[in-house]
Amino acid sequence: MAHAQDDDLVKIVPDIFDHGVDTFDPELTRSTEDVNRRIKAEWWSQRRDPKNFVASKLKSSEWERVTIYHALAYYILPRLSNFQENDTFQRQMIFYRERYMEEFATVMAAGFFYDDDGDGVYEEAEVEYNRTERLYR
Amino acid sequence: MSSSKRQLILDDVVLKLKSIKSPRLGKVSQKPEEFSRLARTAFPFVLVTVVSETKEDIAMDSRLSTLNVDIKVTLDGKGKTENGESQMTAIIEAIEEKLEADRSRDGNAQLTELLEVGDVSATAHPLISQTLSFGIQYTYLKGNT
Repeated sequence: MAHAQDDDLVKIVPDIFDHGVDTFDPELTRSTEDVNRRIKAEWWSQRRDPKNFVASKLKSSEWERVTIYHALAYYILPRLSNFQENDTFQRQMIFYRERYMEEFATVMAAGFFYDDDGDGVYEEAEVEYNRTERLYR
Repeated sequence: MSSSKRQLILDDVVLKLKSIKSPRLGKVSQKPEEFSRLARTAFPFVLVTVVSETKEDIAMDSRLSTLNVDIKVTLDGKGKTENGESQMTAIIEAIEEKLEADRSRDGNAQLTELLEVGDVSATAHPLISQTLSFGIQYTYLKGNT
């Protein structure tokens, strides 16, 4: 399941569906996979066996904004852009790429849930942290 | 406050155009747009405008009004190519078919008729456009358009 849906996207960019596209579900699904892969690479695989990572144990709502910013920067706005000079979508791509990097680092540092025992309940003991000092440009 | 009949009719036209899924349409709007600022996905771009409106008395308190509505389809055809023209033909047919399915505009008009289909014209390379002109008749009570 994707961390974000079309309705969540509208909360960030109210006019996103004014461009002749009915849904961005495929883009949000792809971004969810990309975000999960990055969580796995930068947090899980640093400490545990990569084979045992289960993305569905993450709490989707915590990764909603990260996923939306990623989708806008890497899939949605490139789809809208005509890649001409002074194209507003290209400027927005840069803006959302930076938001994505910031938001990802913030969620990692602030702590996020991973339902380790798979009981469907997020407990305090299941809050994970990962401080990254990487500088993204 | 309820919308005027004129607005309800235009809203219905836009709603019906937006419901066309095949062939795919891009942005459907009542406002002209600067093409260079539109998203790629906004094409084929469909502009709905009221060109003119004529009125005549049909009774002391009733008027008959005819809205002349232009529906201009602009697509990124990479020039006036055969492919662009066949795509345009499919779109024009779909619009005609959709708007004629309910000529009463959801009960707000007496008649919707296609008056003219213009020629395909090269708007600004690589854009091509074609305009359908519709006449939509509706009645209203004096002072209540």
